[in-house]
Amino acid sequence: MLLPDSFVFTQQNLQDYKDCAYRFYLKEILKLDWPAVESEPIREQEVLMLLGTRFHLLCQQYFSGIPADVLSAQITQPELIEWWQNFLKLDLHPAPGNFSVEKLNSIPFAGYRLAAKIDLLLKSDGKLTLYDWKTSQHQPKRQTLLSRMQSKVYPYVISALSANQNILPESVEMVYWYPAFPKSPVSFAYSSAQKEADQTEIELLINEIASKEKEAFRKTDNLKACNFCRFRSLCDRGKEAGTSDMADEQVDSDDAFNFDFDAI
Amino acid sequence: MTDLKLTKNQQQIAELPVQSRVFLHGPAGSGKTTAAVQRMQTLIEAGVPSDTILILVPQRSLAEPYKNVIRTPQFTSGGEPSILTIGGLAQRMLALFWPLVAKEAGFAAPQTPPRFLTLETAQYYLANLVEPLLQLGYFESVTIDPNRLYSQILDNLNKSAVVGFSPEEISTRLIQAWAGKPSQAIIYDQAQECALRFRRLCLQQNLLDFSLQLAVFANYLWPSLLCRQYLTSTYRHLIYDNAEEDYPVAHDIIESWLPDFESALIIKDEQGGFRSFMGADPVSASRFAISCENFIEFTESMVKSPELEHLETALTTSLTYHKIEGDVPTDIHNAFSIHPFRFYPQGLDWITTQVKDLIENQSVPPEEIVVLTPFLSDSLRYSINTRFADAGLNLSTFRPSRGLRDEPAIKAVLTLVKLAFPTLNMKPVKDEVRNAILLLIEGCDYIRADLITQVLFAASTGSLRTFDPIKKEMQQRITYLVGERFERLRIWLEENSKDDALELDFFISRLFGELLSQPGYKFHQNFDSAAAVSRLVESARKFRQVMTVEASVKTHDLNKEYIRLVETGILSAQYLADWTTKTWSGAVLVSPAFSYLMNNRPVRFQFWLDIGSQGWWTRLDQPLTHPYVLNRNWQNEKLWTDMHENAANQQSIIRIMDGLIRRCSEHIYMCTLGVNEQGNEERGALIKAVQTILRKLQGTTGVKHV
Repeated sequence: MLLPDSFVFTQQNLQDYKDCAYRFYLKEILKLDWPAVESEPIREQEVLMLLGTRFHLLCQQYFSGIPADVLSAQITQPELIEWWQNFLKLDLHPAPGNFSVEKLNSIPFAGYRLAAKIDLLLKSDGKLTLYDWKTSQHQPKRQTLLSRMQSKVYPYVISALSANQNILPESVEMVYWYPAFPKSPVSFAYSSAQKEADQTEIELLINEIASKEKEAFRKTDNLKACNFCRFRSLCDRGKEAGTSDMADEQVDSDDAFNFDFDAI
Repeated sequence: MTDLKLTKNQQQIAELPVQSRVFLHGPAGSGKTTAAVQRMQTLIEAGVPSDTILILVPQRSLAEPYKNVIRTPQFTSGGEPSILTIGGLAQRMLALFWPLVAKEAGFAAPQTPPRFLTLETAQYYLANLVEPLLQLGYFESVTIDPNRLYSQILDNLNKSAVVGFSPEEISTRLIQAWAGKPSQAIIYDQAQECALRFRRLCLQQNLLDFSLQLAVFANYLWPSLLCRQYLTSTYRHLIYDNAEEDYPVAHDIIESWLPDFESALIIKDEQGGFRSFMGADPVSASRFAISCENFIEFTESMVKSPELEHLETALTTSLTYHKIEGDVPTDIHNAFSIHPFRFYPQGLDWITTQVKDLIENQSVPPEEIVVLTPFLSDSLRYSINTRFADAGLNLSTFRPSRGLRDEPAIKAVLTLVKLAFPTLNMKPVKDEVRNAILLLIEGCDYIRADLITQVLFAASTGSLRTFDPIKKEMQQRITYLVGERFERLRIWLEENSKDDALELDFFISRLFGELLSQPGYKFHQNFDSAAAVSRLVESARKFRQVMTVEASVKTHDLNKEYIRLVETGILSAQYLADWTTKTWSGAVLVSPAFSYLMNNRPVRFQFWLDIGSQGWWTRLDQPLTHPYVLNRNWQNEKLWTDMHENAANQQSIIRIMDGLIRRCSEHIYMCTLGVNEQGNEERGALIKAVQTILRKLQGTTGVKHV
């Protein structure tokens, strides 16, 4: 068994495992630095990532009580201005104590911890709404989003929290909100059946990972995925990084767009 | 929840009523942190939401015992307690509340975001200000490496922030305490002028080094209503561990925050304050004994044996009075042994053999052994590393990784950058090219690398020639395989150098991924080289991201400047975070004594290397600053004399010795060396104190230490 007892599972590392078990091994077990390019065009990717980080911070500042006009005055990039105006039109004014922002929640699960960092969690009339800000420039298909581990881990963790024991899964909703596409958020309602299915899937996945020996973490058969993985040279799976327009579906990495307070 | 086996004292702490404010005091190894970890769990069991608990530590590595529990599957579901340092909290709050505070704090562009500086980017901006002044004769009478000069100027600013005085008072305070030649006053004035120029630049350009982050937080954010409301409503319970290693401004903030917490547990280590050169102030931390309603003291060590306790007493007495009046208990010889060697290598060989014996024949887990030294140089680390590797022993070290310019993989990559971009006007020399080829091309030995350099490198233009047209005989000597790999490298550089406005970190990432980590090159599946290049890429990216906010900066110039800064050592990317938080499970730790103490993990066996070294006693020479004068406990206008220096060094060595002994449960092996690493004979205070104990032992019991 390779995982330390203190290992924390997240939607990101579970998704990595599903995409390529070997990538999970390199990233999470060996904690390997591999400074190759993940995807091209690298310059544009970075601009977008910094914009996403800034947007997340603005939302956090807004919910921390800084007046919207003060924040608006801080924004100069046209794209961010547009995103921000779209966000303000959401008209979210949660009452104190009825929301949390950028909060890391975790639960004991399958012998480890399972964690989810929620951009915004709203509580209102016995209902819970999880917002996730998606700052990519393309909106993937609904089905693609729903099949991601994020769509399973986030609502599961929130509905499994002991503080939410009295809330039925049916009262939980998850919203992927795109500031660039404010009129077409992707939302879905949770359910007891879905919760049970997610629990089974995540548990199976974690048990599988936990029981694996080094050799069993195999490289993916989907060679296309290697175009967008920084470890491709380590695996002898290509040289240049793929360009984002080659990707079937763009789903931005949740980790990439958060202001990394934990690094402070 | 995790069940910890607790003593009666620890149980008492854990079971205090929720709404208690407690000051817990005691020696290292008396179980205070274990009690606090249990207290955290008891609070949560009593219904306290875990994310309302703030665990404050002076250094993140000290939070490991808390993290180890929080990450267990037994820990409660929900949010997690926040683990922070005051510096980290200040930066978080600044990022969050910047729009509200920037103008009031005096920043010239309050409507643009703050730019947080790392130590190295702060040094860069400072160097730009100071370099022209050096040309004018500033600091002329000081013989010091420029990088140390910059770090001491920054250190003065940091001291003003952590102690809580205006940066404008730096030179006055230093001059008032100076007892030497009056000409030193000019140096202090110049150091202050540089610090103030840097501060002005920071305010003009929204740059925030550590000192400004802390000063803005303490003076503007913490007193502001919104930030204070945010903090006091977010955190309702405080556990503040190792408060003695924190600085007075941190204590000021916590003292004024204390009434808002529903509960608080503040822990202070007796004889702590190892970070005094960074502003740690145990005297200041003692205030919490009054501001908390409950005072609890732990006295019993749960780590050290009675013999080690006797050693601690004897060593403290010997270091303080240079003699021991009473008897030394005879069992003290079980606590330590002396092992003399004429030369360094002999000492290292013996330690290696002894460590191997402990692990293999006495079943001691490697993580229960630590090798300690006052300083850990590159050469010493290499020497120990080689011996341990040959003996099949795992080793880990607590010290910053090598600076960027000292890392061969990084030097090789930067040589390729220079070859790719002749417009940088930084032609590599033959040595650099030969070393790069040797280090990068698989199958290439020194002779072939030299041949390639001689035949295929045009030193005058700083460019590479193609392999194909050279004589067949030479091609055969180089070999076709190596030649083909060289040619691939040359073509890659040629094809990827068209855009000389490409950001350096992007270029290096592509170079690494598309070429150097591919089969046929030595970075392929080479994790150490990958880690080194990662550091380079990260450092270059951070530098660029801070710099490119200024629209006038051109990427080409920035790339050139970055390489210059790496080569002069101003940018070294030696982040504390890289090494202080690493665990050493399954490996013997080799560490400077200070770093080991600050990681606070007891072991069964300690090896003290070169106890004759003056390094155990003397503090670093810092001609531009002074940790004891720029301190809240120093009385202004008093002179710092040799007597003070001696007393401070004495106090420091006693603190270190007590700290080490209290973190050892079985035996300390002390090695003496006739000739030290530099080839000198040294007889510092530690060896003299140990000899005093030995003489006493010989006199009373006839015990002989080898």
